[in-house]
Amino acid sequence: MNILNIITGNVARGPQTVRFPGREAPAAAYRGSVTMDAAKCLACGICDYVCVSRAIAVTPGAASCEWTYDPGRCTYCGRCVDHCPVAAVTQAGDRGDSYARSGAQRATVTVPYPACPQCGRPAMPYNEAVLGAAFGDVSAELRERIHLCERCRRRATTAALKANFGAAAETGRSDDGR
Amino acid sequence: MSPVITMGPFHPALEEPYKIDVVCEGEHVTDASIRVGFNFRAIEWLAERKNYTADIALFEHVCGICSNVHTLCLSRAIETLAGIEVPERAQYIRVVVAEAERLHSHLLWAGIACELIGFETLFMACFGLREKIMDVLEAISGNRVNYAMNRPGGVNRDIADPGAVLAAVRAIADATSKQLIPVLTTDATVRARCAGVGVLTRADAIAYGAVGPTARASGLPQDIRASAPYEAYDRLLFEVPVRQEGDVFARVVVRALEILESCRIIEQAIEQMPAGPFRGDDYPKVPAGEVCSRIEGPRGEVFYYVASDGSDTPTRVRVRTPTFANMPTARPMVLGQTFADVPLIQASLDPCYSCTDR
Amino acid sequence: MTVVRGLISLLVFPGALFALPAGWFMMWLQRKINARAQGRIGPPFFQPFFDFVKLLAKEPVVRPRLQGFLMTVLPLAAVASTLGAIALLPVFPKAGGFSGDLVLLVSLIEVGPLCAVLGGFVSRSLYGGIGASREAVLTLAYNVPFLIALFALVASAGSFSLAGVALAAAWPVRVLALIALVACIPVKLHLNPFSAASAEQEIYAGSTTEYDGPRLALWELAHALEWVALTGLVASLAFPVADAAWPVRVVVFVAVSVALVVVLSFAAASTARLKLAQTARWFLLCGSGIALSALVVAFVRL
Ligand code: SF4
Ligand code: SF4
Repeated sequence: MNILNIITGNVARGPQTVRFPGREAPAAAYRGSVTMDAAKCLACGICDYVCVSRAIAVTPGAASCEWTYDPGRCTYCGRCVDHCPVAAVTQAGDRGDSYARSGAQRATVTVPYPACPQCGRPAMPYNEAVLGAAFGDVSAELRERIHLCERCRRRATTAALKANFGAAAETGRSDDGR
Repeated sequence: MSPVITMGPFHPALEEPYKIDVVCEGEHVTDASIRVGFNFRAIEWLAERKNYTADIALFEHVCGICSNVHTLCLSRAIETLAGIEVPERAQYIRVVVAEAERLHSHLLWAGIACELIGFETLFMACFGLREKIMDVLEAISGNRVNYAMNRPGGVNRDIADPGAVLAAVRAIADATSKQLIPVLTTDATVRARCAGVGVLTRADAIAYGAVGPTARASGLPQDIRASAPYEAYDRLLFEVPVRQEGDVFARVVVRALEILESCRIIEQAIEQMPAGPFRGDDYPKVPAGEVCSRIEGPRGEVFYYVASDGSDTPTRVRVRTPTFANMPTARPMVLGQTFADVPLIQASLDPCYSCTDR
Repeated sequence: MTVVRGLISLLVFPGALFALPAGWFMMWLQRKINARAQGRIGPPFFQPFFDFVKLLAKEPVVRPRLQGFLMTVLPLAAVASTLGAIALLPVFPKAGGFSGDLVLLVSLIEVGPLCAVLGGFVSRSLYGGIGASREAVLTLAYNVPFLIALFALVASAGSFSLAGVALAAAWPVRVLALIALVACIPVKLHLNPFSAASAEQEIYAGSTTEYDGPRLALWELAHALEWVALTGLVASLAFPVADAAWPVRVVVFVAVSVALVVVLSFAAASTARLKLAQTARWFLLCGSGIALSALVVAFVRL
């Protein structure tokens, strides 16, 4: 007769169904679709590296970096959010809209490269904290130099090499390469 | 000639595409075979082409019901290979999530078993109860199905609100012991459909290498949580329910009791959980080598083999799911039974052919 | 006069004009109660009607000519015979002729399941065939208590007319026989726990698996009418009101029918489906036991 308890309980409680447009709100920790803040992004490509389903693609260009995201491919695993070194990636707390066409929700964010402090050409964005995390202690001079564009960086390196040519000749060359 | 009745690949009794060919004399089953392979997704092949971080998320998708056991087993394999210690809090969180998943899996199975014997009301009751634990899992992990909780060296998220977990688990334990178990064990029509049906003898269970609740319902007291404890299981008290009968009814009872045990484990784990860190390094450095790892999933022993060449990508990941071991036992179970019992008997293994196909 | 009355009871009350909506209402009520017992909302009021109209509007699958013919004629025969059975129910003022003749009524009710068995076999589907053979076994099984119970009533009342039985049957016989009769209804209506003939988890829809569009609509129609015929049969035997004024009779008829639907629905919601052999055994042992005791009581009283 226990089943009758369940049935009377159900009848007394009334239907538990939520009618269509209504929906229970997702939990506070909900992992929804991914958005990226271009102002923070370093175009490092780590989100691309950890994404299992290739929902994120990071394509560096000459003056800016294309960051694309396709929710249709995303598994909402949150790896990109966890691994982004500058917390540029966040996940929405809602379930988002539904859509009918594959790729309809693909989003592209352009990450502009900041201007090189010396020549004004676009330079890859860099973050000093990330630099420390990646390479450990770096001299103040190098720390300065990360904001330069590639050309200026090369120039600075060449200038430094010229200044210390003797030392570089001892360590940087070998006879095999000739 | 006896007619071969093909159930599947799409059939109301099957949750996933696979095929059962049943040879019948009237309503009597004289032979049966299961054909799988409809869900092949080349996950092992993909794993050899993706880095470890992405692989964890990849193996989450081996199974739609017990996604957590796969990431846990793979994480443990990587940890063993890389020699990573898991912080104690993370071990307890892993236990909570694994047991919550077992709850949801067993309740889902109980519901489907009821549906297969035409008992829709009980099916709805089971699924209603399951909704509670799904909510808990969503609150902890942010998703109902793919929890993305494990990472080599710890877990991704903390349990922010242990009180809510405790409350939900106590409610489930209460409803299971007061409503579900009495109906499942005493209802005349349920007993008529389950008792004495689909017997797997102890000898057959050993011969076929059955695992998990299927083996435990046939008198084999095997449970990796108890025999080779991992994570925090050695610090938690729980029992391994074993029944001797080996019929569908025994499998129902074993799983029902396991629901209660899981509730007990979660309660203890939440209470004992120490404070402290819960995540490890972002990128494990995995040296060359190979390793096996096994844990107890809701359906039985899950086995992973991982081989590494020292790069960020494994050279081989091999998955053996519990259904792979349990699947062949369906044949001795259905022989001599009636056709009406076949859906229930094959479902009583709690099969997951999608995991088996990978 | 007799012809007019006969036509009225066939086409108006309790026939088509009443029975169709009533059948749909009963199907809706059963689904609604089932849903509420499970904590669901359940279908809207017009759902069975919508289902019927939708099926009618569908283009039928092209079949070999003979098979198509049989697959149309068999459900039609089921509809016609069940409608005839309903027309015989003695709710309307005495119409003379065959009205209220128990033997004719029971044979007409039996035509429906028989058509379902044949319909399952001619559809040439494996599942249809299994469903049909299950239907056949069950028809044999439940007819044992069904007929014994009716015979007990007839023996107790000494009359073969429904009105006569309703008036004259002794109460102990009536109660026992009605219990046996009510227990037979779920088999015919494919309700739990005796729904083995249409166990969707095993054999899809049983004998109607292969039916589609308008042909399936006819089966649905026959099914709706069976609800009215079977509950109506019990309702007209339940109370000795055959002599009362006709409004009283109509009210009792409708009230008992609806009450039966409620009881059957709750019984269906609270049980699992028994297997074919178990169902057959239940009817041959328990069902027949109850019916036989009714018969014994009837003869002892005599
Ligand atoms: S991981 Fe973060 S910083 Fe790196 S590319 Fe992605 S969004 Fe930009
Ligand atoms: S949530 Fe996971 S699948 Fe989605 S973009 Fe991030 S890493 Fe890729």
